[in-house]
Amino acid sequence: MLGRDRIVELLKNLTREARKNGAGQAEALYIGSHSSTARFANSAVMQNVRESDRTVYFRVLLDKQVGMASTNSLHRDDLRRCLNKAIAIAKQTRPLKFFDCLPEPYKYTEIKTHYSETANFTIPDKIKTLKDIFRKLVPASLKQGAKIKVGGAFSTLEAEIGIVNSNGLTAYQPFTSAHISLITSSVFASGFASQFERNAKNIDTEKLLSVAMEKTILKQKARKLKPGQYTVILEPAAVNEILEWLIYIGFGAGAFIDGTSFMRGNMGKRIMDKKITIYDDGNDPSGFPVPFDFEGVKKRGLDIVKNGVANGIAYDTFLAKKCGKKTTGHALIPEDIEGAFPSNVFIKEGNYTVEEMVSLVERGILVTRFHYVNGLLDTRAASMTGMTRDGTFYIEDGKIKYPVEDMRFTESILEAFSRVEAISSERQAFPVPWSDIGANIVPALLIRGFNFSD
Amino acid sequence: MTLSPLPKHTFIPILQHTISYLKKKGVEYADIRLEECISEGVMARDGEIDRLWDNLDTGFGIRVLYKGAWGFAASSLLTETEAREIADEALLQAKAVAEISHKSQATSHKLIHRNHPVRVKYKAPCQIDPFIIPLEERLSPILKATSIRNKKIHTIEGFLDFHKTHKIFLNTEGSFIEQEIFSSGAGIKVIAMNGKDVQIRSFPDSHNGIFRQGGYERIIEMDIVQNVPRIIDEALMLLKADECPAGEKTVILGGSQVALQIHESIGHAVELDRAMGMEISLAGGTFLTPDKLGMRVGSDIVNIYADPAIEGAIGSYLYDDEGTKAKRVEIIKNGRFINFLTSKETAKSFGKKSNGSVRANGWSNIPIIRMSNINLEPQEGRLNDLIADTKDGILLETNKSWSIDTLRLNFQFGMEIGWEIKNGRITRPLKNPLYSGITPEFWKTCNAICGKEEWQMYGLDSCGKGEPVQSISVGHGATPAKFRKVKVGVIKC
Repeated sequence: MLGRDRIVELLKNLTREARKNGAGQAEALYIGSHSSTARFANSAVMQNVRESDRTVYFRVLLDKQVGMASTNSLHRDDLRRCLNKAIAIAKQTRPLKFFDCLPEPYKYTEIKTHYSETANFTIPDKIKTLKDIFRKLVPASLKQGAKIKVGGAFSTLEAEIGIVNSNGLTAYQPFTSAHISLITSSVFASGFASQFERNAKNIDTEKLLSVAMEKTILKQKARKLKPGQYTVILEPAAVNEILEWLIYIGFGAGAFIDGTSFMRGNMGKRIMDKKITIYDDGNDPSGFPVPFDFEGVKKRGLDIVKNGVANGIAYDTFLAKKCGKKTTGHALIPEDIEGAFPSNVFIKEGNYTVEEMVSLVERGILVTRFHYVNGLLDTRAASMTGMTRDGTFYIEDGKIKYPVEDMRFTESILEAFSRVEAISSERQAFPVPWSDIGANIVPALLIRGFNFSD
Repeated sequence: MTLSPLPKHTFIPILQHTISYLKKKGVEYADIRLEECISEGVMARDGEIDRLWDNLDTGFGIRVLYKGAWGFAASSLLTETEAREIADEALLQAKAVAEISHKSQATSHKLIHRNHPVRVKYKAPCQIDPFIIPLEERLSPILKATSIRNKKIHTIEGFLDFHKTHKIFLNTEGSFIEQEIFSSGAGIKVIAMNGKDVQIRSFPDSHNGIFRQGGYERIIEMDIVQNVPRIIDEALMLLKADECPAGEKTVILGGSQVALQIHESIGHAVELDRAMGMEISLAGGTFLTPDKLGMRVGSDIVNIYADPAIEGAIGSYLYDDEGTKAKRVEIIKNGRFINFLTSKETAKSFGKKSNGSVRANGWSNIPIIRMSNINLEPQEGRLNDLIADTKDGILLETNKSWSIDTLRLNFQFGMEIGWEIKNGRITRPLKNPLYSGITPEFWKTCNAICGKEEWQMYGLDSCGKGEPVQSISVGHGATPAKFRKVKVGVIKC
């Protein structure tokens, strides 16, 4: 980690040099990270990786011509080559009618996003934690009379982001995060649990193991259910898989401009049950707050779906100007071609526990998580398909009865989310695929008539 | 500037010293990859550049085997101090794992096969270096293609992608392998809209196009601009088309979809690390466990092989990222499963040598088993012959969505367009088709595969596996093929 002073000095020097070399406006973004992951399978550590990287992204404007280039080599010559490449690209591209200005400076909210406990959590620390998990499996296997194995991954990240532009914008923030996922499996069933935290000391492996094991120790062979429409309880991990696709196909400006988003033509209209509220808030301390986006625009709240009504789309400066809108502070790194996405998404909580939700179900299915969800079937209807995995159970008369074989769902999520009957009060955090620093915060949902196609 | 990294060429001797250092530290095996990748990506919308970026990505990764345990660390900072720190970190990790594992040093020596040391310098063929073509000329195919105006078309998007990768591999066996590879890709997406519906047609393939090794000649070969009017017509046709009817049908898959079908249901299924449970946490396992060798997974005409030595295919290399020489591997022979894709470690656990199927996504990732180019052997005939020989069926072209279960058995694919076939002739377009099946049952119904005249090399640029997820380019040679009794249906909700 270089720290605020060194990064800001580096970026200020580079933006000054860009101006000297002919850029009308210039922006330099620094992302540095140290990450490490221990992977385990068959109750043994299988793979350890540690990565240390630092990249500088340049964006320059020559009037309305834009050029972008990036490098992870901090060698003086490579940084200069990269900067001049961005200027050369700008000179050779056609002027854009709509884009003429980088963001102005902001005063950011002070937020604690870096924890030394995570930054100092080493691979040997992870391995000790995993050894403890493996050890605890032994008595559980003996009690069950069947061998239970565990697999998964335990990652930590320490990152710092700095942004300087020639309009006087200066931003810096360090971040940490820790993520663990566990899959326990026996010949009868498998179970899953995960936890995502800014502070690694909050990771509770005992609780995670107990949650995963609870699903593994149902000592019955999984039964096959017929395809059809079932009442389902989707636990947070399953809801998050669906939410990721809703964000990807619907909530970003790129899909909205393309016309493929289910939000297009529906703004102000009811698209889900009124119990569903989906919002993005980079300032909410109950999530993974982030003071600014990747072009330094200050985070503020965005109501995406409010009481079931389509309300807001995530923009960065570029796509906002293209559409005559204002940025909502959702820029990704400059080379991400898919544009702006919300990275701090919450689904508003309800007031049920998952146990209470189970008790409401006469006949139905509890889904722990999905595998390989795909939301490109019909993006205007948010039609998706995917398989259940690691803990799918039949519910009868308000009680979990037996494990069932994995099933494929094919369903319009707009329709499914219009049949939501209950939402859990407890929510869980999950990492987001397009940003290392945000998180989705997601409850469990009870949905009637969920379509299992095969 | 605040840091003083070294230029790449002066860093190589430091890495050679690092290998000696690790030997002295008592490692059983170590390898280092130093990679530099120059890339350019472009996204255009309606004749305007939306995103264009240039990137230089350099770094090195060190992998260490100590007392039967692996450690891996990587950094983008090319300094002597960092090389030593990263070597120590990789060793520290391996030691930490070795302490809690049950393998003794004696048995761990047998964990991997040794290769004979080689010194090789390889440059994959590239006729036109894309990076020396003036930018305006370089971008002109997609700017022209996305500028074509049609009032009924909402948007035309275009993608261009160029990479030049220079990779140096050295290991404790004494190998020093240098490989330089160019790759180029492009694609166009036409989005048609009316008040109720949105339909998409892509060329030459969906998901940003086709990716091949080679230079700008690959973009010229695609002839993108000439093909845009056709896909505009098809996108507009789809807005008026009927929904694809549900039922059990004879299906002809276009070549690019056969490529993806191979990828998802066969390619991933034959990765030995999956079969050994090593990928269970994210990607899942496979129905093809070692006890299934010899199992029938397709009809007699289904022959599938891996070949990393096909010139111009996106998944090609001369040596893999463990220093094993690339070679052709038969995977499915006359419908029977006969080989896995293997690494040094996984192959050894079955008493075999690696078949050279290991790659990492760049310097920062640990090498794992990956598909190279997984290809279907051509049989005979043209697509028109397959259509003429079909009484009642559907031709399905260009993938729209894909999903498969953790064991690579239960799949569902959505397609951009279907063409109804009646009595050997195409009668009408059908929209929103999808088909589903169970892998071995599906491939067993394959009763016709086109000949080499229709065989084409397709390339995907973003196959994900591993944790952290590694996205890598994979090639598939395929032809159109026919399948009986396939479940076809509209999207039912």
